[in-house]
Amino acid sequence: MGLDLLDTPVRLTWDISADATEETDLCLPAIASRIADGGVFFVTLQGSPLLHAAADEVLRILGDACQLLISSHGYPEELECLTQRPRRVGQILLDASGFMDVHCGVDTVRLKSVVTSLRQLAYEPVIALTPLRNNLCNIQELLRFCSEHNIAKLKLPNAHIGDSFQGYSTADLPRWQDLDHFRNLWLDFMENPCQMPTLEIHDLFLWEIMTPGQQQSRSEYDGCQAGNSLSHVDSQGVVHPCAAWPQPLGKLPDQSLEDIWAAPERMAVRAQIGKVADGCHGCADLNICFGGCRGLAFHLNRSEGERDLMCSGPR
Amino acid sequence: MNKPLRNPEIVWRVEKRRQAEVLKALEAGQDVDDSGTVILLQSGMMHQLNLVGGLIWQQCDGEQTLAAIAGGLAKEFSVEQTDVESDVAEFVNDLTMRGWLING
Repeated sequence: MGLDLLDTPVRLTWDISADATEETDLCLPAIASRIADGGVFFVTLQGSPLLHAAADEVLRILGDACQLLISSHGYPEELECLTQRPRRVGQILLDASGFMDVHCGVDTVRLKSVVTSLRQLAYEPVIALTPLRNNLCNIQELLRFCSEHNIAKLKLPNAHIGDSFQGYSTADLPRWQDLDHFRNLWLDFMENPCQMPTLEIHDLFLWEIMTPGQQQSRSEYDGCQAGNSLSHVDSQGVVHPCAAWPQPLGKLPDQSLEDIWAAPERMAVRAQIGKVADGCHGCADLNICFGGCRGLAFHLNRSEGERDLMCSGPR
Repeated sequence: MNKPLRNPEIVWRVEKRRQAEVLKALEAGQDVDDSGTVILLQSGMMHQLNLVGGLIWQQCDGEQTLAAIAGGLAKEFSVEQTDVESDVAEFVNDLTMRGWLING
């Protein structure tokens, strides 16, 4: 049975950024309560949540209600915030993008230092990297780092678009041509592979390259979950189908997640996802990828029939 | 298995709004076999149970026997307990094989 319409999302990303208005800042605990009341299982706090004045209250509310991933860039002030917290809440999602250099690769010395500091604070970090054109070539090095330092999980989420471009633009997003190059790098890497951490790869085409022969592990996948099990809340409390689909569906805390998920705007998103994209007609693998990331495709790839950015064409 | 218990590693919730819609559809004589009312996550994978499966799942608290679960289900749908006993046993067995239920 495919995934039916849900009452509220199961996974949600929430941007808590320094550029929020004072009014929004005051609403953060109320937004957190709405998310908790919505029965969301997994919440990822993005931006710089630890540095926010309302962090303690937000973490207290969500920490009791769901599994929390708290993004960190590994800044000293973020580590200081963790030092001052009375109890460990959630898991740290260490954003590796700040440890990358186009010319020098991964700054493993600094990354190791931050991982060590987090472990001293009893946090076992998950490392995350949003795949971009200029960092695809660093993924292998990051995997070796994870192996050498016993990092249990490497997460490769899809890019955020809309209000939450995080230091990159549409031109930085990888396309299928970039994956062709990455595929060759990956084959080289696999000649001398390392002990792999658990990989959480959002993009199906990247996943296909990095986990060959593991199609069975995605056998339950039945298509894009934006506006169903997935959602995104921006720094103003506006709810979107997912981080890669900038379309306001409602606003927290003015409305509940249940009401936003029952509204026609959300249903329209699901109906749009249910249609086969022009660029996917006739593809033999459509029942495997279901059109891939529909948010990025709808917003950034209309010229190619709204195909996934990383798909070269019908197979 | 005498008293099935939900695997505590599985997170789950009842889709209450959806369940109400499905019950209404059932009363209207529609086929609701493929309509999910309970969602559960195991090892990062999402699964849904339909109305009957969801009701059985909710009763698998490690306290109730298969007979008691079948009795509750029979009462809910106004049928004889003997009419649902084998279905309950089959469903519980399936979920046990998947590791979603354990012996309570």
